[in-house]
Formats: sequence, structure tokens, C-alpha cells
Amino acid sequence: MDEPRFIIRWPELNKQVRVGPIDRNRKLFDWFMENLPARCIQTTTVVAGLSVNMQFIRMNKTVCDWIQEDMELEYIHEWPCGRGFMFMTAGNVAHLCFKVDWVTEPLAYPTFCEVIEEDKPILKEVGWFFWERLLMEKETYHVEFIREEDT
Amino acid sequence: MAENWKMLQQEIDAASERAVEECPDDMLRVFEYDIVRTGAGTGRLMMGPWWEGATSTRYLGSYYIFNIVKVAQDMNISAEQIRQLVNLMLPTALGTVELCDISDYARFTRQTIDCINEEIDDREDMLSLLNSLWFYGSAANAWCQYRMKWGIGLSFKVNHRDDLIYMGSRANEAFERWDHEKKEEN
Repeated sequence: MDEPRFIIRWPELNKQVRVGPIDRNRKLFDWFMENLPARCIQTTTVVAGLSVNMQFIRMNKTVCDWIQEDMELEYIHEWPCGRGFMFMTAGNVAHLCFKVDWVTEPLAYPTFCEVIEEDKPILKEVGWFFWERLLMEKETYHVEFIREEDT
Repeated sequence: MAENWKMLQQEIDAASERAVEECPDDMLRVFEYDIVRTGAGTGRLMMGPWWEGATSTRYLGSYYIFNIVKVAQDMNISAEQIRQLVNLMLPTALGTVELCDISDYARFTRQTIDCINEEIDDREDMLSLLNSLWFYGSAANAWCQYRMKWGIGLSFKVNHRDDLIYMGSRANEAFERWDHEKKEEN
């Protein structure tokens, strides 16, 4: 049976990528999937490299029952582009990031998912697009998360 | 007198829903239109309210409320301990948020503290209200980051290694000049 996946969709751009689980922290993947669909505004990181940053994803159905320090951690500068991780997540709020391009920060985070290889060029394209358009032009973009099986 | 906490929670949740779609008015006023009504901004400069406002917004939500909600996942943390943490951690950052005129977030936080001190005794009710504030605070943090005038940074690019070597090579000139300048007597 195929692994479940979720889709990240940027409605204003009519672009999307598919995201599947990786070999660690499956608990986080299942928890996130359980709480979809969700929507927030798109931002990017501004220090140490480029990631797309989703800072307030409402997890309506199940409150967070894990803590970052207990999860398996990876160093962000070492893991591949397209990999996703949770950061400062608690209660009913998830903070999710995806590494888009080079990152110099040697800090460890709980990774749990990754954009599928076929869609990674799309992530890179939208990531750099957001870097310019969010930070300089102040245009607003939303990001949506939906289970692939629900599309 | 604290407001009814459930009414406050409904108001925060409604503001949060709007913040998923559009920038909250208080952040738009400070970061886009440069209007601060409190007198903050030394020399009438906006740089202070932008930086301090965004930083204190992040501290209030992502460092303080977040950590209270997180530590309360431990069921041994009592309602009284949560109340102590709220009173210990939130007021200082809140003062700066208020000063920088991020007014809605400041009011929500002030009223949450009042409710926790005067009205709520149940642990889960406290966490429910703090969770609502945590979501709004996360949205506020994202909008601050988004609205910050990052274009200013283009005037101050991070120096490359070669730039630093060149700057270092010229450092002696400054000392040499100093050595040849007439020194004022004390």
C-alpha cells in the first residue's frame, strides 16, 4: 500500500507540491495529517538560508502531545532540500518549515517529511519567488495543506 | 475587572480567523503606515518601534506563551503554577508591545492575564484561553516578520570574506591617522 501524502498548495500561484513521510518521526507526520486541512499565510526565513516558513497552522482536531526535544533531530545544514520540520509547535498551533536552498545554520530540528523528488524544482521556484515578493514587494500569499486522498 | 474569559476567547479566535486572511489592523498601522500613538520612537524615528515591536511580539508569543503551553503538556504543572508563569513571563514583553502600539495583541494579552488572575481557576480553561492567545500571537509574529521593511537591509549587506580582509588591511590607516592627529589635553 502506498504511503499517505499531503499537498502544499499556493492558491494565488496555482502551484502545489506533494509531501510524503520520511524514515523518522512518523508520529509528527500522522499528527499533522490528522489535523488537515489547514491554511495560513506564507512567509520565508530571513536568517542563515532559505526555507519556506508557515508559522501559524491551526491544528484543530488534536492538541500537540509531543515535544521537540524528545523527537529524532537532524542538523538543517546537512539534510536535503525539500525536507520539512516542525519548530516551536505546541497546543493547537503548528509551525512548519521546508528547506528550499542552502542553509548555513548548524542547528537540529525534528524532521518528518519531504517533498517528493519530482516536485522539488517547484518548491525551489516558489521559495525564491517568495523571497523576493514577500520581503520586498509585500504581496500576500496563502498556503494550504490538504491530504492527497481528499483531493 | 476582567471580562468574561469565554467572550474574550471568542474575540481572540475571531481575530485569529481574520489574521489567517489579512494583516491585523494594529500591525498594518505600525509597520505599513508608520503610525504610533504612544510617543514611542526616539527622535520621532520609526526604526525603534519596528524593531522593538516585532521583537517583543515574538518574545511574547513564540518564547513566553509558547513555553507556558508547552510546559503545561506535563500534567503535573498545576493551574497555580501556570498562573505564576503567566505573571512572571508575560508582563515585560507585553509592556514593549503596548509601547510600540501593537494595540490589539496587547489588549488581548492584558485581558488574558486579568482573566487568569481573577476569573479562571480551572487548569484546562486556562490552557484553552492561552492556546487561543498563542495562535493569535503566532499570527502576529508572522505578520510582523512579513511587514518588516527588509528593504532597509539592502543598505547594509553582510560582508563577504574578501570585504573583511580588505577592511582589516586598512585598519592600520585609522590608527596611523589617530597617532598623527593632535591630541586634545584633558
